[in-house]
Amino acid sequence: MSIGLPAHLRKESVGRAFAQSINTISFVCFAMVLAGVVSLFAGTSNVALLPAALAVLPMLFTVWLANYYRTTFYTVAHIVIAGPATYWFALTVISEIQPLGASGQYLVNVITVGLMLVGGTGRSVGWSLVWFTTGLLVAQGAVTLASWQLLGHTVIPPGVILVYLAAIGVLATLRLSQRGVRRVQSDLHRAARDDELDHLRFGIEATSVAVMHDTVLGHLAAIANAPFGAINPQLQREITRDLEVIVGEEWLSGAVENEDDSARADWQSSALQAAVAEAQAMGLAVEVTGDLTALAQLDAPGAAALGPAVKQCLVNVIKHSGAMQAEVAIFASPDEVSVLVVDAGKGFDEAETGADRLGLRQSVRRRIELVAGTVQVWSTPGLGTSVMIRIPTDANERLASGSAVE
Amino acid sequence: MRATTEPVTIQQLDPLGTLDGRPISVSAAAAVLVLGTVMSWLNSDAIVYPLLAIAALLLIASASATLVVATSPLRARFSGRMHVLVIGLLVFAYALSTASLGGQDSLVNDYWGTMVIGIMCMAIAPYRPVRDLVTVGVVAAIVTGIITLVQLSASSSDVPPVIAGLASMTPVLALSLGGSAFARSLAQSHAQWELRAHRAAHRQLERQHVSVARSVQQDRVTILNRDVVPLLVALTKRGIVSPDDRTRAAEYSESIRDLMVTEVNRSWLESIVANSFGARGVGSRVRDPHRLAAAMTASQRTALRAAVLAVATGDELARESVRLEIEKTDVGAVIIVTATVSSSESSWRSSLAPYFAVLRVVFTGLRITYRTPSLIVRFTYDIP
Repeated sequence: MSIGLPAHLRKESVGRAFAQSINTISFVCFAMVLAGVVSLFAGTSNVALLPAALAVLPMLFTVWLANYYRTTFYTVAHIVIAGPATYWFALTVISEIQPLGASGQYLVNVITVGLMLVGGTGRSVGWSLVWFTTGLLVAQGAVTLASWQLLGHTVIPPGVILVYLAAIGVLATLRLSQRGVRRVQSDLHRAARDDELDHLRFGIEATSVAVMHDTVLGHLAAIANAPFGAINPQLQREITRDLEVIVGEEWLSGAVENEDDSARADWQSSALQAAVAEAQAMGLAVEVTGDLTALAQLDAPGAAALGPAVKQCLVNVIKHSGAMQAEVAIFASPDEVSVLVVDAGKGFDEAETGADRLGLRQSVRRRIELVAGTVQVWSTPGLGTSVMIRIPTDANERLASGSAVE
Repeated sequence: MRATTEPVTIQQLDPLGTLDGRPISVSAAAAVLVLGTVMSWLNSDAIVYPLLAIAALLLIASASATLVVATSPLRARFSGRMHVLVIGLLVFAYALSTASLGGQDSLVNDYWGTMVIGIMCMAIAPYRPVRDLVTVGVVAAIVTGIITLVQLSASSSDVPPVIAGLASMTPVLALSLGGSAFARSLAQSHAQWELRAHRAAHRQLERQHVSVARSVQQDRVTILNRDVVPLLVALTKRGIVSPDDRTRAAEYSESIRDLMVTEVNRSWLESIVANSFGARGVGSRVRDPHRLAAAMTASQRTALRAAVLAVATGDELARESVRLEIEKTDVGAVIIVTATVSSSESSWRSSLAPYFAVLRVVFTGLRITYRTPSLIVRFTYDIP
């Protein structure tokens, strides 16, 4: 995940946000004026302010359009329509509310400010300045003309000029402040990329540790404990096969994705079946129960992780439990497949296992976590061990969206 | 995980942009104080109760000061409570300043009070979620309207109540909604960029997967080729296990296991610190006994990574003095970074401010303590 916008997008985004902000203020001004005119009209029926209310309606519509499309065409159209509408509005208000007083002055001032604040296309400070000035000239021109026609004199309210200057001040500060921290921003983007790459590498390294643990370390341990003399033919075959894979093939990339889905669905050719068969070859009595077809629900990464993880659980039974029997139970829900490996051996306390024990940590837990699954271990010294492995059926999708979720 | 479910602020999405834009908020805070003072002075003839007018100005000053202090990059995030406090002070100030007019017409003499509230609503826009900006703005506008009506009922003004209410609400509503629109537009831009960047990064990672996998495999094979592969090849050819084979197998197994355990146990933070400060003494530089570095989110990792690199390559802090410690707390984890400053205070403050600005939005409770020459930075995060 990246933090912040890159410099080249920020200028454009801030310009757009400023334009939308200005248009919103303008819209609220028109809406308040409309509410004011309607309330006056409703309160005192002898004041004929209906034409003023009608003049505000098109302005509300055109400012909404100009905000939605933010093109020069719609901006010019807004000013062209709102100019005469403001004149008409001012004419009605000045002729109907006499003397103009605080209420009339409020209505005229707010509509002038509303028309002056033209968001425009939000492309550059220069353009915003042009739109504001045009808006001010048109709005003030319309009001001045109406006032001069009816009263013979006109006053330019200082409040409107103040708002004009303030808007330009904000615009300039906004633009001037778009300078400082570009270097830091690019550092952040680089850090985000490096983090993703590290994450990828970390995952691959974890897989490689699991594979090394299951193959090379396993063989070395078997040799270290083997009796002198002729090597066990089964071990010899496994060593030959693993050597070919480890030195000769790309075992960390590609293999998992290319696996055929229909082949995986078949229990007889599943990685889980292979794991069970290998454990049985080592002399462990394994009983498989539950819904064997559930394995077909797993996608390629999920299925590829499950087999070796269960194999490691079974190897742990042989190595550490003291029992030579285990049960592998498979069950499924629509979202996940669960496999429970149970033995009635001597059990252990996971917290007390040595820090150098890679098996449960790396070959089971880490491997399953890499496909967004979970591992739970229940073990009581003397009462056996149950390992529950849960893998989501859409492991691949979760992996793809992993960093986005984070 | 939390960041995606909570409504986000522009400050969280773009902390550096917000830091860049902070002068606007600071100028706005100064401007409302100046506006209040000048207008009170200009209208001093209309003020019946000067004490109330002075109290109003004091409230505006404290709201301005709160905004300036609370948006500093060296402090924790601008909270909802601060938001309500600042606007609440200003609404109260408006109430006092209208009261100070006695029976005078507030629409003529005190229209600036509502401008002050509106300007501050806008200045806060980058620091709070859009929903809060709209809610506080609308509530402030309604309360302002009510205050105006109450004052109007006590005054001799002939302005219709609805117009007086609308007039006082207009600046508050227009400016607060304008500020919300600004925040909403920037948040949308950010979301679009985020989506595009995420897709591009995902494609890039897919392309890199093969090369990274090859390089990891090459590392492994190189280690194995040194001793293990020759032993296994010889054994499979010979078919006989000798005492020497057994000793060698045990020895290699041990050394590979040690190597893998070290690798598995090294956290991403230790790797980065080792890469940027040198591998020597990583153990004493990074203390993470509960292995909590792994619980950080992607954006937390990114921010901390960038900060560590900046400290390692800059000369504001003495490189050899930098230490990172992650400890468990009741609610999560706390990171404590200690270092000796090797530059002037203004220098490290300005160079590191952008990084603090980022850290404070992705982590919680950033606290910086500086007692010459030692600098302690603490921040916390949730752990699952």
